[in-house]
Amino acid sequence: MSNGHRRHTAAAIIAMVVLFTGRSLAAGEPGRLAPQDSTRPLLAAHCLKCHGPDEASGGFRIDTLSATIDSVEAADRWQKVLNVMNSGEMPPDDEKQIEVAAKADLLDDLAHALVTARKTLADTGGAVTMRRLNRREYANTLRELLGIEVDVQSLPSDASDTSFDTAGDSLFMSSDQFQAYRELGKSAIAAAFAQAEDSSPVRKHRVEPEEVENRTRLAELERQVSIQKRFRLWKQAIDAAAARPENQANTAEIRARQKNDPRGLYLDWEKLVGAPAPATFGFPDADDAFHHDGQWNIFVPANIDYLTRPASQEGVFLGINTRIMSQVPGDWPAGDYRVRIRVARAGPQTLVPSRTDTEPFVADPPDPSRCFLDVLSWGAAPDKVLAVHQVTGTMETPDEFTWTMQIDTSGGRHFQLRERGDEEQRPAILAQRSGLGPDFGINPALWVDWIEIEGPFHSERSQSRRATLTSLLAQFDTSRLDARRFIATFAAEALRGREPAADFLDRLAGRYETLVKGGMQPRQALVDCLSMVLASSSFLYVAEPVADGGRRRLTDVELASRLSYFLWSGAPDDVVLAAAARGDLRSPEGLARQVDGMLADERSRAFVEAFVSQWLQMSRLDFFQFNAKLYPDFNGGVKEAARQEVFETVAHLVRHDGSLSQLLHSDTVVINGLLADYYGIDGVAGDEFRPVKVPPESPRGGLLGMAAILAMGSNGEQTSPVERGAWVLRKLLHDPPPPAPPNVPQLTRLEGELLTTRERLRMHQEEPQCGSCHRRIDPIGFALENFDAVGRWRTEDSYEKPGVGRKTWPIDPAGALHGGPPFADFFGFRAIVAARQEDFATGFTECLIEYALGRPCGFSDDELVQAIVRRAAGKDLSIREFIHAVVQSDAFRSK
Amino acid sequence: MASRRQRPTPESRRRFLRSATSLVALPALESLGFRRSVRAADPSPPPKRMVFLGIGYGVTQETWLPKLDVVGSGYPLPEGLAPLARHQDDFTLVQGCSHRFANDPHGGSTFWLTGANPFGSAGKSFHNSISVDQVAAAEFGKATRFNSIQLNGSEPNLDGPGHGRGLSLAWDAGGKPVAGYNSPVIAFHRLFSAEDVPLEQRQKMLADERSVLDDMLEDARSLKRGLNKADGEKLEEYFESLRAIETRLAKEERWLGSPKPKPSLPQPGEGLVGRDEIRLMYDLIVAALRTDSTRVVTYRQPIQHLLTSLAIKVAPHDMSHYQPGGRMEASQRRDTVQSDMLATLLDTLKATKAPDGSSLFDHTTVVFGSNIRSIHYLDNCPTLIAGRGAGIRLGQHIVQPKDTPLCNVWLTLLKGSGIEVERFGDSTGVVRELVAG
Repeated sequence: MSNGHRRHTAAAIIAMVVLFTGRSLAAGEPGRLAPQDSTRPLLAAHCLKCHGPDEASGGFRIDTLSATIDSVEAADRWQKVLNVMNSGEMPPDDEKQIEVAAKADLLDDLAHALVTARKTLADTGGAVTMRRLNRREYANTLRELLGIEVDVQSLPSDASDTSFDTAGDSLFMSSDQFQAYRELGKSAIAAAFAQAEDSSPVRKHRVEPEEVENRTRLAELERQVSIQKRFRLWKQAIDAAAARPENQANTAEIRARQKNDPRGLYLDWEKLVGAPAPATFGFPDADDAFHHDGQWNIFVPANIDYLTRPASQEGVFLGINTRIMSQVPGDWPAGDYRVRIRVARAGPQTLVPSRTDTEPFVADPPDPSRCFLDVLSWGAAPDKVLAVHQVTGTMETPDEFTWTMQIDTSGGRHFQLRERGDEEQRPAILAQRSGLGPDFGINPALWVDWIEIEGPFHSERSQSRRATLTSLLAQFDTSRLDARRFIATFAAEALRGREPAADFLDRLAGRYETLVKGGMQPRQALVDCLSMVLASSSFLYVAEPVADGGRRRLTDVELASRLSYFLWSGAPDDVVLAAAARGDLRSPEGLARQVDGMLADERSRAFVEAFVSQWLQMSRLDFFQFNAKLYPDFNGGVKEAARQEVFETVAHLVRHDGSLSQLLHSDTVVINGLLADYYGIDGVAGDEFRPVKVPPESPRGGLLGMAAILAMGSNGEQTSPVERGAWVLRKLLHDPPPPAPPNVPQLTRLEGELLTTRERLRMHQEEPQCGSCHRRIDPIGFALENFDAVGRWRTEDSYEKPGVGRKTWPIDPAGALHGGPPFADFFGFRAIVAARQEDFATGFTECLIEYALGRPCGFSDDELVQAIVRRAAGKDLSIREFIHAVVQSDAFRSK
Repeated sequence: MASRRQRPTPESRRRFLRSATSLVALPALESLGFRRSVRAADPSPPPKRMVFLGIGYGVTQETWLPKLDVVGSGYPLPEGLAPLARHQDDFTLVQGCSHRFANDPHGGSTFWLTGANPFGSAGKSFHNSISVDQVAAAEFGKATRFNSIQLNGSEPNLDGPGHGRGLSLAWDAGGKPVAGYNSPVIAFHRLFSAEDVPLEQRQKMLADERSVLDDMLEDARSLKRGLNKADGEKLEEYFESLRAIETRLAKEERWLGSPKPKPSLPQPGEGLVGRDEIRLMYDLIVAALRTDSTRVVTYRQPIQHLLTSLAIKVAPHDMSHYQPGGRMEASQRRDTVQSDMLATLLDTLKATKAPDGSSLFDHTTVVFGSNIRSIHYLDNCPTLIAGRGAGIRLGQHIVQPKDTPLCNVWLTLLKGSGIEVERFGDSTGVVRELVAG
C-alpha cells in the first residue's frame, strides 16, 4: 500500500465508475464516488429482501441507492446504511449476519467512500475565500504597526480541531467582536502615543529579594515564638489550676476519660475551676492553640535554620516551597523589559532538625536535575511557565540569566521565580527529595542574589513602522493639525499597501472635528479616529477583489500580503512591500529570494509554531493535567520544553535545508539542557536548543521519540494506544481513519477483569464495527507502548483496579501494520514508518496548502499536491523546498 | 422559519430599523418587568420564557435514563435524577429523539439546538442553521431589553472541553455563531450594572455609536466593490455584525431612561469556577427572567471545571467514555450534582411569585440535556423539560419511536410558547404526547 488507503479506495472507485459509465474521470473533475464493487453484492444478499422493491421496509430501498455519491442527499442516504450497520441495528438479530471479516471490510470501505464523498462535496474547487485576520495575525499586525503588544483574550481564539486558524470560511465575525476590536485598537494606539512621547531613557531597577524575604521570615519567626510562649504560659496556668484541691476529682475524671492523652487536661480546661480561657492568651479555642503548637515545631527551626545561613543575608534560597514574587514597576510604560537574574546552585547545606534530640544533618549538594529556575506568570490565571533556566553557576560565580518580559496593554507585569517543579507535585517531590521526613524542611537547590529589570526596549523588527508612526506623532500639533492627512498617513500604513477609501477618510476627518468641537481632547479624538481604522473591514479582512467566476494573478501588493501572512502571520514590512513595488516578486528567482529572506527573519517563528502545532494537533497536550504523583518530572517547564522541541526541530530543518524525512527518523535531536536531563542524554547544558547526535539504538530522533508527541497520546495518567495509533495514521502515514462512528455498541464483556492493555483492546477485533478501524489503529499504538504517558522509555507496564488487584506485564511491542509488514519492536516499527516518507510528504503538503491558502485541500488539488511533492523529492524532501513550491504555485499567486 | 423576504441593503435596513424604533412606544417606567405583565389589570397574557441548559458529553445512561417499559406518570425515577424527586410531577423526560444528521460523536453541542446537516452546503466543509432559542428570541425579544442572553462556561479552551464549534449554544438566522458571556461577572454587569452616565450624555453616546457604524459602513461598502460572490458573502458577516449593533442601539435607545432593574442577587465575585459558577449562572438566569430583562437564555455549561471543582481527576472525554469503575463513578457523580443544581433552579423558579400568585415556573420552559446520550451514542438524546411556559404535559416519561427528530420536541416547545412556526430544522411534526389536554 504505497499511497494510503484513501488513494487505494479512490482508485477502486474510479475503476467502478468506468465500469458503470464507460468513461474515465478527468483529473480535477469532481470525483464520482461509490462503494467498491465487492460491497454491493454483499449489501444485496443481506439487505435486499426487506429493503428492496418487494417490501421497502421503513421506506428505505437499498437497490435505488445511487451508484455514485455525488450529492449531499446521496451521501446522507449512504451514511444511513453505514450508521445502522455500525449500531448493529442492521441486519436485524433474527436475520443472517454478515461474516465478521467481510463485515469489517464492508464497513471500512463504506466509511472511506463516505469520507471521500464528503470531501469531494465540500471541495471549493480551489477558490480562496476572503478572510478576516485571525487572532494571532491581528496581534502580530498591531505589533508590527505600533510596536505594542496587545492582550487579545477578548477575541475568539479561532483555533479549531478540524481546520487551520487561517481557514477563511471558519473565521466569523460577531458584534461583540467588533466592539472588542474597537476597544483593543483604542488601547493600542493610546499606548503607542504614550510610548512615542515617552522621552525618558531606559530605566533600570535592581531588586535585592532577601530584603522582603528575610523581613517576612523574621516576622513569622517572632510570631511563632510569641505563640509558643503564650502557649506555654497557658498550659502552666492550666497545670496550676489542676493542682488546686477543689479540682482534684475533676482532674482524675478528665484523665480517665481522655485515657491519659497528654492534651486531655487542656482540651477540657472548662471543667477546671479557675482555669483561664485560651482566649486570654490569644487563642480562639484550645484546638487552635494545639494546632499552632504543631506549626511551631516545623516553622521555628526551619526559619532559624534559614536566617542563620550567611548567604541568606546576601540573597534568597529557593527550594520547592519558596518563591520570589517580583514585577516591572507599575508606572513604567508598556514594552519589552530585560529581566536579569543572578542565580547559583546552592552549596551543600547544613539542615537543622526541628527536634532537639536529632543531630543537624549535612546534606549533599543539590541534585543537578533540580538546578533549574522556573520563571512563572503571576496573576488571575493559573501560573504559566514563562521561561526555564538551567543553573550551572556556583555561589562564588553565579549565572546571570536574562529573559525578556513583554508588557502588553492589559498591564500584566508580575512574575515569580521558584525551583523547578509544580505546586501539585510538592508532596510527591518533598517525599522523594528530602528522604528525611518533614522535620528537616527542604534542602534548597538554588540561590538568587538579585534581580535587575531594565527597559523598555522596542524590538528591532517593529522599528520601521514605529519610526513612521513616531514621526507622524511628532507632527501632532493641535493648532495646525491636518487631521485628514494624519489619518490618511496612518491608514495607508495600516492597510498593508491598500489604498484607503477617500470617503472613509473624509468621514473620519469629519468625526475628528465633531469630537473636538464636542469638547474632546484633540489627542483623545485622534486615538478614537485611528482606532476606527483598526476596526474597519479594510484592515480586518485580507481582500483580493475578483469578478464572479473569474481568476486572476494577484497584484504585487496582494502577493506581498499573502506571503507575509503565510510566513510571518503578520503584515508585510517595508522591505517586502518595497520588493513588491519593484516588481521583484514577479520572477521565480525574485520570489524565492524574498521567501528565503523572510524565512531567515525571526518572525518566521510564528509560521513554524502556528503551522506545526495545528498540523500535528498539538493542542491535545493541554487537554488534561498530567498526574503529578505518577510523573513528578514532567512538570510545567518540561512540558513547555517538550512542546518547543517539536517547533525547534522543524525550525532547525527549515534553517539548514533539512529533509522532512528527518521527522520520521533522525540521528539528531534538537534539545536543551532541561530536555537532555529529562531524556537522560549526557553532555548538554544550557537553555538554548541545539542539535545533538544520538546513537542508532536511541529511541529518540524523529517525532515518534518526542515527549510531547507521546504525551499527547495519553490521558495524563495512562497511554492511549488508540489515540497514538490514530495519530500516526493521520499524521505520518497519510491514511487517516474515518471519523469515529456514532452509536457503536460499547463493549462490556470483560468488565471488571484485570487485563493488560493488549487484552483490553483485543475486544476491538471481535466486533466488525470496531475491527474495521481498530485493526489498523491498535497495532501501531502497541508498537509505541514502550513509551509511558509522558514519553519516558519503559519495559513493563502495570494496571491497578481498585478492589480487584494489580497486574504487571512486560511490554510486547511486536505486531504488523494491517495488511502490511511485521515488526518486532519499536525500532522495527520506526523503520517501517520512515520508509513511508512519500505518504508523509503528501499529508504534509496538503496541510501546508490548507494553511497557506486558508482553504481546504480538496481532490481538485491532487495535481498541485503531487507537483509539490515531486519538486521537493528532487531536493531530498527539503522542507524549504515544499515552502518554495507552494509559494511558486499558480494557486498561491492567484485569486 | 424566517420568511423569504429579499434581504434589505444595509442602508434600507438601517432606515427600517430607525423608523421601526421611533414607532415603538416606550414602556412606562414603573411597568417594567415580570410584575407588570401578570398584573390583573393587564389584559395581555403573561410572557413566555425559554431556557436551554446544555451540559455537553451526555449522561450516564444506565443510571440517568428511566427504563423504557414504564411510561406515563409515576415511573421509577433513576438514581441520576434522584435529587429531582420533589419535582417529578413538574418535568417530563422524552426518550427516543435524535438529530437525523448527527454523525460525529466528537462534534460537541454545535447542532444540539439546530439539528442542521453539517455537510448541508455543497462546496463548504461546515454548515449550520438557526437555533431554536433564536427563533424564540426573534419574537420574545421584541419586548425586552435583551433579545436573548447566551451564557458560557468560563473554560478558556472550548475546543478541548468538548462543546465543539460555536461561540455559545445559539446560532443566528444565517447559521453563524452568536457570541455569549463567558463568566458570571460579565453577564451580571451587562444585565444589571447601573448606567452612571446621565441620560443626555447617554443619548449623545448612542448617537455617536450610530455615526461610528455609518463610518464603518462607508469603508465596508468600498471594500465590497469588486468582490466576487463568495467574498461578498464573507463580508456580509461584517455587515451583519454592524447591523446587530444597530439593533442593540435601537433597543438601548428605546430603553433609555428606564434604569436597569435591580437584580435579586449581589454582584458576583471573580474566580468562581465549576459547580459554584453553574449555581451562580442559574441564579443569574432567574434574575434575568424575573426582571424581564430577557425571555430567552441559553447556557453552554463548563465541563472540565465542573469536574475539577468536584475534585474529580478524570478528564471530561474519559469520563464520557466510562466503563464501570472510576470513570463511571465520575460520570454518575456529575449527573447527581447536575440534577441537584437543576432541582434548586426549579425551586427558585417556583418560588418566584407574581402578585396574582403565579410563579415564573408557570411561564417558563426549561430544557436540560445534550445531543449526546452517552459515550459515542448520538441517538436517544437525554432531554428533560420542565416548566409550564409551553403548556406541555409534565410529570411524564415519554418514549418516542426511534429516530424521532429532536427538532419535533423543539417545534412542540416553540408552538406551545405561542410562536407561529410550522417546521423547525428537520422536524416532521409536533410530539403529540407532550401536548397537554
